[in-house]
Amino acid sequence: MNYVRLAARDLLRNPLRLSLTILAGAVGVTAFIFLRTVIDIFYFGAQAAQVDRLIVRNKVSITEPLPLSYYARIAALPGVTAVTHQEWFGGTLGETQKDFFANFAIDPVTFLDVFPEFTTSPAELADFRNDPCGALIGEKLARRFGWKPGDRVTLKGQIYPGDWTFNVRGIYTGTRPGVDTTALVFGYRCLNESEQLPEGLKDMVGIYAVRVDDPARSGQVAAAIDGMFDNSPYPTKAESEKAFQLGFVAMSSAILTAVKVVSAVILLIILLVIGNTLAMGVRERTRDIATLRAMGFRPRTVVMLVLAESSVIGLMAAALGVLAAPTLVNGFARAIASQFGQIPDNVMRGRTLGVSALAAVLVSLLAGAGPAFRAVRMSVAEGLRKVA
Amino acid sequence: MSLEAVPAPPPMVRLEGVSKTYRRGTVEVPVLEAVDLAIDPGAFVAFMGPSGSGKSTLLNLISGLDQPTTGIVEVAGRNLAELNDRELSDWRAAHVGFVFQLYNLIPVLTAAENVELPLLLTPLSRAERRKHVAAALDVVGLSHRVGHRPPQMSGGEQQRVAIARAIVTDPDLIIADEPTGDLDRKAAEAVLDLFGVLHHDLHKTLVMVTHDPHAAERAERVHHLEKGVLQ
Amino acid sequence: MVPLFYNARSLWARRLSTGLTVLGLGLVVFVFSAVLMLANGIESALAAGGDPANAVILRKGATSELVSGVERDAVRILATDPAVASGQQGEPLVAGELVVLVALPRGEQAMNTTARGVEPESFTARPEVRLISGRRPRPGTNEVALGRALVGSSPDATLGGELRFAQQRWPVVGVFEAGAGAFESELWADATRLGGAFNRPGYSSALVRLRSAEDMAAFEKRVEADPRFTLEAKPEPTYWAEQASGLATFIRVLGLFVSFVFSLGAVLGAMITMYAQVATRIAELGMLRAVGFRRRSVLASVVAESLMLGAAGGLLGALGALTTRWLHVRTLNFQTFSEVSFGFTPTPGILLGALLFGTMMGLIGGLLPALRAARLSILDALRA
Repeated sequence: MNYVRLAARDLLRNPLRLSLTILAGAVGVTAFIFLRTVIDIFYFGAQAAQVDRLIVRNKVSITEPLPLSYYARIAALPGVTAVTHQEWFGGTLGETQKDFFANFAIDPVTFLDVFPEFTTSPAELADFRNDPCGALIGEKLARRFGWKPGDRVTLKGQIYPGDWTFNVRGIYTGTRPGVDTTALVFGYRCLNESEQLPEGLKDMVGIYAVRVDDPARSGQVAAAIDGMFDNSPYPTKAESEKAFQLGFVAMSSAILTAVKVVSAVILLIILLVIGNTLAMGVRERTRDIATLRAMGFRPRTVVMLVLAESSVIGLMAAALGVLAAPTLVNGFARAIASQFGQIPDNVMRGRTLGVSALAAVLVSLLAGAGPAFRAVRMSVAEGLRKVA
Repeated sequence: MSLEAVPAPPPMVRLEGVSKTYRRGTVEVPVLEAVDLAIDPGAFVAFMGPSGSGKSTLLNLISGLDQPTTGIVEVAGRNLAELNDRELSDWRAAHVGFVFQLYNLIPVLTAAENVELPLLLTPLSRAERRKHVAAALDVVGLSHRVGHRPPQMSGGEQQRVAIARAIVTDPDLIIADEPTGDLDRKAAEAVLDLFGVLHHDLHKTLVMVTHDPHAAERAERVHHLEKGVLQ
Repeated sequence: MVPLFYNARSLWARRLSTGLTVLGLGLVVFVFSAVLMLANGIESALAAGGDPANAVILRKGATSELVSGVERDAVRILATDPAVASGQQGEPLVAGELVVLVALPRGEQAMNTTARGVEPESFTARPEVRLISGRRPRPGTNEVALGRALVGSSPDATLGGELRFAQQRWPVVGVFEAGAGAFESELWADATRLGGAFNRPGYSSALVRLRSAEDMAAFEKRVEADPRFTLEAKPEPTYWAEQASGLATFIRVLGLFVSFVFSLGAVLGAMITMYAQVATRIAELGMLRAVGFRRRSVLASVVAESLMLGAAGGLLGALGALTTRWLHVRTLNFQTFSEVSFGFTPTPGILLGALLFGTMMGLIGGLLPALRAARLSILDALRA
């Protein structure tokens, strides 16, 4: 017999209610993890951003192009170790946004110098470089559509009108977990040397990605790039990859705020359900608690007993919720994949799970606080005679 | 007062000018008025009186569950007004054992566990606690019921478990509030016999509130309360 | 039938528990209806930007104006179509329009804003676009008019302010409203000046106002079949609904997903409360049975009580959701890369749905406890 046993016995007084409460809590924890993961997805690009990388875009807006001629001038700057460029192609498989995936035109020679997190076999890389209209596809994308080297993929262009056919030359993978492998990239020449290229887009690129030797000096390099083109017809805006990605996140901040508010609402619902259960438990045990107090148990002990119960409920709910969350998140990912593209693997981070579990336990402790306070506040003399 | 040289032992319980009023909205309801009382160590005292006469309030004051509006309550030489809630808790754990009309056992704990409960507040080891529990249950004659839970026992048995719980910490003072109020004649006699044992053999100070003249008969002294005044 | 006031009183007797449960149910209903209102708000914001008699002309296959291109010659050809409506001076109501994105500063960040290069006919052909202050930009100048939702979104985005982008200055001379539609998130400037600043010789799209919406189908076919260009026409409302579909779907899928999961939690919460209600009233329920109420009446009574909880939660949630009407949301539309501004738009259907949703949760939560209550043996219940 000890305090743990005492708390355990009190918890098991009403096993049905206990299991319903834990279940409700677990549902809440799962939903919470789910929403936090949705937020993580928005920040995924910024998370994956490399500190030694700068993104250079047209100052007017991301959709305005930059001249190809900037390549050599940026590469010549001190502190720059590699430069590459890429264009958002925005082609679709069919007439609609269905089966959406990201596709870019890239410079096959310099791409991997600036993006070393992608890798492919030397043979496939050589094939890719030798074919003007060769393409590399991410392994996740390859799995999604069952594509393999040698396949031909035809995309409908929008910014670049017409049908564009690319030869899949290889499959790229990430060098570490969490790298996004859901895109198709193809050689810039295929675009730039095509007769289909719309007027005004010849020798124009979307953005430059720049690798610097010392991340601490990346601000200076960015300033040097912007300074160099300040008075040209195409002024630039150079910023760290992280800032570039966060710019996109900031524009969706209203949605993110809504998701954050809703996730806070979940915590509130968990609070209400667990709080209700504990309040009932304390009310039903008024006489027992008064008896303990009369025997000389300190108020603190009574509070601890109630809080022990609530934290056990919280822990169980958290554990169950963490177990159930991956299924839910994957289900959602499948539901939106055709419209918004695939969600990278490993998007559900251990940290999110941990934070959610911690939040659940804290919320349950908070839920216990009210009933615990009531338990010690009530008059012992009256409680002793109360018939439950 | 005599001038004898041998000092009388200090009383176990001393009440001096104790009054208690409750507020009911704006109305003040007097429950106890100017009670003076002394109970010697080892005494067995019963309080009788009709409902609402202030018996229970008196018990609550003596056991430190409630504070008087005016006056002094001293138990075992301590003025209870000097103790805060936490100190009162510790004091009750060390000095007071309770027996209630409705037994107030924890329904989810076994008889042995219920008896062991107040021992959690002592520094005793697990093995020592078990020994004390066995001894207390032996005193009340329920050694064969250790593993049973309150709902599986009769009222008389439950009350005897409660008595075992009251004495297991070896308190100076045992407070009993209508201990036979919910029991049949035979079970009540068994409980009262036990009180006799506590009084004669273990020399406990017993303070009992009761309606029951049979119960009151067992006490050394019977005080009558009438509308908050000690007769 | 056990009288309903009996249930109401017993809920009131345990008002803390009742209150917590109603609040929980209410929160779920709140999220449910707020999400639907938001998705509805996006759709009506974007879809409101459209008149069924107006056709948007895009390059074939283009899904938005931003990725479309229409040559100047094509606009001239379109103006000769017999179905085109005429303005007061007899001019054809056809306008070439150029859509570009400009990044206006907002604090540390920039926000992508749609800049629409317009011609005078752009205003005439869209009667829902009305100036609420200032005047229209004069053709051939850098003057711009702001959609109402943009005012104050960037430091210089006010009447009399001066925006800077594409290395030029753009004074704000007017503010317009557009029936809460997507145009309210745009800034309008002269198409030629904007094209010059962005080095765009052609247009992104063309707007054609037809004499009547009934001419639309035939007009679409003529544009499709015309060998002089590869363009397609679609009714303006259809175009804007397509622009909204991604964001609205995202919010709807996310929101309904979350509402569903929430409702599981809330149903469990209601169940906990109703089980407790039954447990504390076992003796009363036994009495009801003893005096002659049937099992079915007891069952109905408990279910009715749970329905009251659910309906109260539904009402609370729906009322709470109504208060979001005064909130305004500005966010990025993934499809157009530009910001849109919209509100929470309630409809009677959504509110009714919210009430039903709350009541359903109460019903489901009360079913099992009600069965337990109905199955009680009279003798056991009376003994408790």
